[in-house]
Amino acid sequence: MRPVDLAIVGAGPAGMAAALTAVAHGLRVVVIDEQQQAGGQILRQPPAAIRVRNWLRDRVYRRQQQLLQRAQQDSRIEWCWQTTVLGFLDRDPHDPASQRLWLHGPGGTSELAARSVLVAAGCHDLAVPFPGWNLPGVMAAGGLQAMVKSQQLVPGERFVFAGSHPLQLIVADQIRRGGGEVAAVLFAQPLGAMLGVRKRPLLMLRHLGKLLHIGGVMWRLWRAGIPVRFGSTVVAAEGERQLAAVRVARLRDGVFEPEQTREDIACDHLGVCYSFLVASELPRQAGAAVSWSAERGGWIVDVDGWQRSSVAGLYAAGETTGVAGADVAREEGELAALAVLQDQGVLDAAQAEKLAAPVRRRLSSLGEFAAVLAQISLPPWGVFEQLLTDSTTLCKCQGISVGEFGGLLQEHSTIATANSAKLRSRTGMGLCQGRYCGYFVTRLLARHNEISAAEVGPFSARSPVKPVPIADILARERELG
Amino acid sequence: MHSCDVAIIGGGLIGCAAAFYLTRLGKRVIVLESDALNGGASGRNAGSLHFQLEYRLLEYQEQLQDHIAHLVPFTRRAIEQWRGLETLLGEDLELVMHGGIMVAETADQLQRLQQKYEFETRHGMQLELLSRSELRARAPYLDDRVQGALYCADEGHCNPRYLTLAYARAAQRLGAVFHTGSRVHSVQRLRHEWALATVASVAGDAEHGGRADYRCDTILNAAGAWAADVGRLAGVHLPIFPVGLTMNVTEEAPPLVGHLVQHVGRRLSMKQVREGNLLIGGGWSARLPELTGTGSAAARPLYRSVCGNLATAAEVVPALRKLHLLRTWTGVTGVTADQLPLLGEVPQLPRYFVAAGGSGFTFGPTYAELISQLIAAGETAYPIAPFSPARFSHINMFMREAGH
Amino acid sequence: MAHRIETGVERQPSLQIEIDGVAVRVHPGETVAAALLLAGREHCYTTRDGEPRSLFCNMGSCFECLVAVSVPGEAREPRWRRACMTPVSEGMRVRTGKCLQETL
Ligand SMILES: Cc1cc2nc3c(=O)[nH]c(=O)nc-3n(C[C@H](O)[C@H](O)[C@H](O)COP(=O)(O)OP(=O)(O)OC[C@H]3O[C@@H](n4cnc5c(N)ncnc54)[C@H](O)[C@@H]3O)c2cc1C
Ligand SMILES: Cc1cc2nc3c(=O)[nH]c(=O)nc-3n(C[C@H](O)[C@H](O)[C@H](O)COP(=O)(O)OP(=O)(O)OC[C@H]3O[C@@H](n4cnc5c(N)ncnc54)[C@H](O)[C@@H]3O)c2cc1C
Ligand code: FES
Repeated sequence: MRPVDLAIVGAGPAGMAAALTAVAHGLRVVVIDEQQQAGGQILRQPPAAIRVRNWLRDRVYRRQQQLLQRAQQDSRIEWCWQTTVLGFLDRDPHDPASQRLWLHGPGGTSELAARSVLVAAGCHDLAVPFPGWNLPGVMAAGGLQAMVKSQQLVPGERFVFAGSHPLQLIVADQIRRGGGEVAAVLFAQPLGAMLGVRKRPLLMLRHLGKLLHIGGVMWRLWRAGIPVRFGSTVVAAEGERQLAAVRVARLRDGVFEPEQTREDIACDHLGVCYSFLVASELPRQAGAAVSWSAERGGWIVDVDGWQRSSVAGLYAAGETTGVAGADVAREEGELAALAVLQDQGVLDAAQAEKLAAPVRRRLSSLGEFAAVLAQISLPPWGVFEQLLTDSTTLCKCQGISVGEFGGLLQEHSTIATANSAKLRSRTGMGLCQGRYCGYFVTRLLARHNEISAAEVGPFSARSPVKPVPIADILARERELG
Repeated sequence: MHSCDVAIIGGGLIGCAAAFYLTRLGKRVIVLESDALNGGASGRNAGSLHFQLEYRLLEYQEQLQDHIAHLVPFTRRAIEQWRGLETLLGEDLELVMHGGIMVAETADQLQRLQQKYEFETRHGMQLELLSRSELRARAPYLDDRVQGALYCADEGHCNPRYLTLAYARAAQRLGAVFHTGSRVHSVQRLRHEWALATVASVAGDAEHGGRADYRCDTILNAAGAWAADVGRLAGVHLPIFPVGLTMNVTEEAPPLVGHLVQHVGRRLSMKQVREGNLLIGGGWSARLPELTGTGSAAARPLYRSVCGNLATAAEVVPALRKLHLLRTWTGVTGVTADQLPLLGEVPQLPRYFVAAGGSGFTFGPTYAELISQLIAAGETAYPIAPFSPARFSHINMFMREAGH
Repeated sequence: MAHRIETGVERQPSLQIEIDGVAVRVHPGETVAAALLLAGREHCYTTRDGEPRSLFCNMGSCFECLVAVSVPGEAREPRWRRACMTPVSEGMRVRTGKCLQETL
């Protein structure tokens, strides 16, 4: 099997931009995505069988929509839908220069050899544990949004949103427009913290489009009488096997106000929206170096000025290298493709640099905005610490509570790394492979031992990154002989 | 400068268990571990308690004739020790000794089982040869292709994620000191004592980890697959070699496999742990990492190993086909030149001991207990002379001055 | 209860699937997750401790939405799948509750 020139994991803005640039210079490119279509999370398209008039036509989506159209119409890109990249396999001894990806799709498992691999796997919602968060009805705000955006379905009747990321305003508005009732949108941080951006008038001016979009959303919510509150959040989800109400507490100077001042809001769905966590498990499994960033999504992949990871032939772009939004993702994708072209000898250094210059210019301004946004979108750790009560489930897959985890750290003073905590406690060993609890395991452990997150380290990422039917592996094994 | 009676290099099962037994015998102990405790083979192994002789040992039956005679009483001691381990350490270790079966599929394999049975029972092991129909009744999860099995009632499994830390905690209560994130990089013989120095490794423990000097009367090299590297720091060759192994685990399943399952002719070990996951291994290799002297440098799984291991397992236990592969992982274990453990004092080096070798989960507690007796009292309750590193003295002929 | 957005949306003629033995009409392109919500059966699998699990991320990464699915023609026993990542098809049978154990 001849290796493809470039395999791209993820058909979001980063992956699409990279694919377009790479095929334009003659590379053979395969894009693999678990979803059924291109677009990634920002443009989770309705399936082909559901036709939607004027889908996501707001101005802010225009450039992304154009990118999507161009990518979808480019017949040189090979797409591989509904296919999960399970991991990096050991290299083929006959072709040690190529990497081998392990795939699982509708036809079973297979392997794909590629000279270069770009991981543009995006991110997922940061799921902050709090009492009752494992009750059906409590969802990631991004998950609720995808129901509306892609399935054209309002997944309940009465919604509350709680968190710290402005995305929840957009989702609340989409739910409202779809005919759902939004009871409240709650931001844990005080309004003052969110308005930090006003101290950067130039930056605001350059990103006026986005701010106006948010402004418009706020205006529509206000006109519809939907309360948007700052400095309060959901401290418990209540209900008998299904969400019936949320308990809301105000925060004063970062501390939850006492029990008697708390208020219950009836709802059947809660969208939790505190920032995002990057999907860095594939690069980590391949041995790529990562750094910790509490605001930018946990363990983010280290890249050089060309999106090269520390592993030769492996590149990362988009949210995987730190949450920064779709615009940054697109530019990074393009940069990564230019790096691949350069490293494969298609472009020389001068050509690549010339093509990269405008990309870098756009990136520097976008990056600055993203950094400000990330900073104002995550509450201080103290808020999380109050939510993570002893009885709160820390690891949903294995059913391990915050208290149980803390107890183990007390008992075993030698546990200092995320891996040793995982071994002893089972956190991170379940079906999600630690994608959700890993962030909190790291932060709790760092707190407990008064060490840095870097010293705690990430969980070792193992393949397959998502469980795979053994029958499919066996069928492939028979095929290969 | 830290000082102690015994400095143990390596915080795996053997190092931590030795810390426990030695402190119990009144020694002041410091354990130096380059990564985190239990980060090496001890925390990544399959957790099988396999007391039947592994088939690989029988293949060397003739050469090993004398030694095997020693292995049997050793095994009996290990069984006794395991039975009391949860009480001794005061912790639930998910230990089950519900019996293990070593299966055979072909006439040839059946014959090997028969030979093995005769050999081992002659040496005093208690085993039972199960016919096909007996097996059907006792282990209905097996495929029809399985023709018979050798049953050992004491076999089972224990959770390797817990055992080492349980020993460490018990040792800590008795006063043993653990310095993690501390990689030993120099070992010097002074006139009457040993001097060791550590450097910080990446995953450091803020409080203790890092650069420090130690003085001690005795060294115990318990560095597992890295014991040879550590040995060379003191100028001695210890013929133990790193081997990378791959493990597979399924999601949680309802109760299905109620034994430790092994195979007499194929590489397979399988068990179902308390949460319901099936652990599948049996000696399928992984690509070794650059050996960086720490347990966390991961070996890489090999695709052929993952597929081969699962295929073998699914042929023996067909229900596996309905499950999912949740995760694969790898570990690095040490094997010695002659498959027997390295257990004893290194003749070339005064008060320098080593405890390392294969099947070190099943026998780790026993290795640790006996080496501790040797260190503290100069003799052991069971003879371990056949396992002494003295048997490799010839390869250290020219190393004499290197350690000084 | 969940509802479909109708204005500006064109769906293809409906097809039938079965959720826990109950016939449910859905449209091509819809996911099993959408079907569960529309049928008012938000619970997916049940943990060993008997706790119901349900959709969380709706993007295939949390594995909270597992259900047992069998598809006619695929001639396989039911398999667990992520409801949010699985499009419906005619005659599909979905089981929730203690379904993961039942696939064994
Ligand atoms: C649920 C959700 C909703 C969001 N909504 C918005 C929004 O409305 N507006 C906005 O501006 N931003 C939104 N974001 C932020 C979003 O991350 C960025 O806008 C943008 O989509 C990032 O682009 P990307 O290319 O880095 O990654 P993504 O767009 O996330 O694309 C990554 C792709 O990789 C695929 N993938 C990941 N792992 C694998 C694997 N192992 N195998 C195969 N495929 C894989 C995923 O299926 C996905 O399609 C949302 C994020 C999330 C998580
Ligand atoms: C995948 C796998 C499956 C296995 N299955 C079984 C089984 O089912 N049953 C069984 O009986 N056995 C099994 N084994 C073997 C068993 O795990 C080992 O024999 C046993 O754990 C060895 O323990 P140890 O303490 O000697 O080594 P380890 O646990 O490897 O500990 C050695 C420690 O020394 C540290 N170290 C190394 N160099 C230095 C230095 N310079 N300074 C400080 N510290 C250092 C390392 O970081 C490491 O933590 C398996 C092994 C593997 C890898
Ligand atoms: S809801 Fe998270 S995987 Fe389906």
